[in-house]
Amino acid sequence: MKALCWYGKKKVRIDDVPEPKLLNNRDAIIRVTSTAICGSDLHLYNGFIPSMEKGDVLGHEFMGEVVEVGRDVKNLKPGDRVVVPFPIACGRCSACKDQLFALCENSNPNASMAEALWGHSPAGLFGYSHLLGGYAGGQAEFVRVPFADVGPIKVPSWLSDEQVLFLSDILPTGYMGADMCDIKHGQVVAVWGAGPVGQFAIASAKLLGAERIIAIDRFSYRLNMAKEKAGATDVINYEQTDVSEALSELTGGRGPDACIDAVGLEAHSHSAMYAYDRAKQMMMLETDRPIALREAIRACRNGGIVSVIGVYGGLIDKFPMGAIVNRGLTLKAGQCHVQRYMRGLLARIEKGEIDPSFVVTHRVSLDDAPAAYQMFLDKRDDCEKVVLKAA
Amino acid sequence: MSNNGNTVSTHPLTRALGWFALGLGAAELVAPKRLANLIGLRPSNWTTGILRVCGAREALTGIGILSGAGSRRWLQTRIVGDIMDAGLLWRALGRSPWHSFLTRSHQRPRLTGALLAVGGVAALDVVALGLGSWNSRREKQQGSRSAITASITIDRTAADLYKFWRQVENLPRFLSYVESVTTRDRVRSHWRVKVPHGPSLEWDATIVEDRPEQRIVWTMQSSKLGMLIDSGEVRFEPAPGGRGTEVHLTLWGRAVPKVMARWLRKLPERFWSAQLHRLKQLLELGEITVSDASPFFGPHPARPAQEELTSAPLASSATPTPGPAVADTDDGRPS
Repeated sequence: MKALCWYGKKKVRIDDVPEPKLLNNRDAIIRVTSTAICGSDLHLYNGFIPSMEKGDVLGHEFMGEVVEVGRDVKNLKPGDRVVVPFPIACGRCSACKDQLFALCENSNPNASMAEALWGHSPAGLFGYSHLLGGYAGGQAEFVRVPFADVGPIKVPSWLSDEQVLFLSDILPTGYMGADMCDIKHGQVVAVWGAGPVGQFAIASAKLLGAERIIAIDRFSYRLNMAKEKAGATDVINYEQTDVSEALSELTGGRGPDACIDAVGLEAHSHSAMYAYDRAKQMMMLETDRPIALREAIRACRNGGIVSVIGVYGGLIDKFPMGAIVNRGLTLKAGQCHVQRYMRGLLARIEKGEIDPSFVVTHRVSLDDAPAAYQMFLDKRDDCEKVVLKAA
Repeated sequence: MSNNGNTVSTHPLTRALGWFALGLGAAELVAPKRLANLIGLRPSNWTTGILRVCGAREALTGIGILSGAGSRRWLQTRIVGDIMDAGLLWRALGRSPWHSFLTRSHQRPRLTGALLAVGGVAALDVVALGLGSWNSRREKQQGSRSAITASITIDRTAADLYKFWRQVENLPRFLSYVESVTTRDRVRSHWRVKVPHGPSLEWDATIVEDRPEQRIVWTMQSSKLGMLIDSGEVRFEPAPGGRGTEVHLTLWGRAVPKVMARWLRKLPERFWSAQLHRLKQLLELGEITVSDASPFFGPHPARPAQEELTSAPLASSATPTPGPAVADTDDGRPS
């Protein structure tokens, strides 16, 4: 079968690889119909995530048709149309019982590797390094899905692939970003990053009742989408405007009640800080550039919440802990517990409360995925979200 | 570290080196010009300056070694100092621009002599350091032996876990590389292990303490090679908050010098943590979770395998499967 494989920094290509087989009793094999390139795939593409092997199949946002199920999968049958969440979760350990699916204790076969880096291990993820399991991803024609009785959800045929595909990751991730903000009536939420996750964080903040939502990015096409499609009330282009001044102005000097970092470890800025972090990253003195995170912490109102859904991998530098402690901020973070949010969000899609397909700007076949990675990275052709058609 | 230091300083060689350092330091500080002449350096302001700095360092290390507190560190400092001195003399001997700056011609024999002296003292420093770790190693063999520990919390009762572990034939189901365990009698068993690209090992194990639902202690006897691990203990303790049972595994082996042990322990502890994760999967899920890469020894890309997996990970149904998964019972978010 065809699969998109990683071969190093900015090197991905379509390989012919063997078709997956059932390995555990709760596995299912899915024939992928649609899959997408995630912003976090660009961290792999740019070589920022450790423990990748040449030949790894990428992709953690995918959906398709069930072709085969293991003997302990009772709720799915061949022919079912399903969307698959990106964290792999057993559904039985204590983390899963607490609905913390991205922290499943039984899904990462390389847990001891993650323990060495992070202290404890989170769940395994599809196509996201060996530290997180060494699972083949879904940017392929077929994919093996472990714990298929827990993760995948069936979707109705009258909804298109593009309307439900993002239940696999970015819609619940954006939603969790807003959910962690405990939004109350009349509150102001600022979102750093107007990529697809940022768009859904904005849309979710609106669904959850935020009064004012401020989008921050450097690409005007993304800010336009945030305003016109996602529901941002104000936008700040950080290359043209000083973000802290603008936020102070927009909030009467208070600062936003909650700040969402939907940027992560490869933040950009035009300040000297960017050069500083870039240099430290190159010298391996820090692994992640927390420019957006620092800004979000500084901007947040006293006693406010900073919600981090952007991906960070290792260590950051110049972390403003003083601001967090002295101004009583709450920092919340996490890989999304997709399984917790999927069904509720599918119901919202079915009711027409949200149509996530608005982020899609490019549709290409799986064969053209390598070029699409580079286009997405360069933000060429106003690229916001690429959907790959695998079948 | 400090008690290691004490054992080093008690040795006469170490004390001698301390006095030597103090004497040399004093000479360098008080009479740098004479010393420069003696070892064939040009007695300029520069070289006497360098010698004074070296002298201060020597005197400090000497006092450090003789004080006995952390003298191991001080001996290491001496070795670094020796390397510095030798480097300096080597520069003076060589043809670099340093040469004319540091020395005069016709001084080569004196310089060479000085270099040899530094080499000799450095060798003695290394010997003293070695004596120290030998002493502390012997001390440790008499006292505590090195231990590897690993723990995990498993959502099963202590009775379930004890029963599974006490039936030692079960253990190869989660222990990688263990080919078979056969029981000889109620307490004795025979183990066969095949490490990929490594040796095949066999040994006998004997359970020496057996407290149902609490703890099992065993010793291991190997006829062939002295084993790194020779005894072990597993304890089962209820986890607070109804979270199942804590499994605490301890393996004892040869005493290893503390400095080495700190590094040597990391690798086996990671290995044993991985083994306990497999036990948790087996007992909570009924089988061991595999990814595309995990069944392979060493690096393997995360892609479907070409080869058939020989050690089929599909579990036998012998392990009782616990309750149903939770995801279908609760949608989590109201819409």
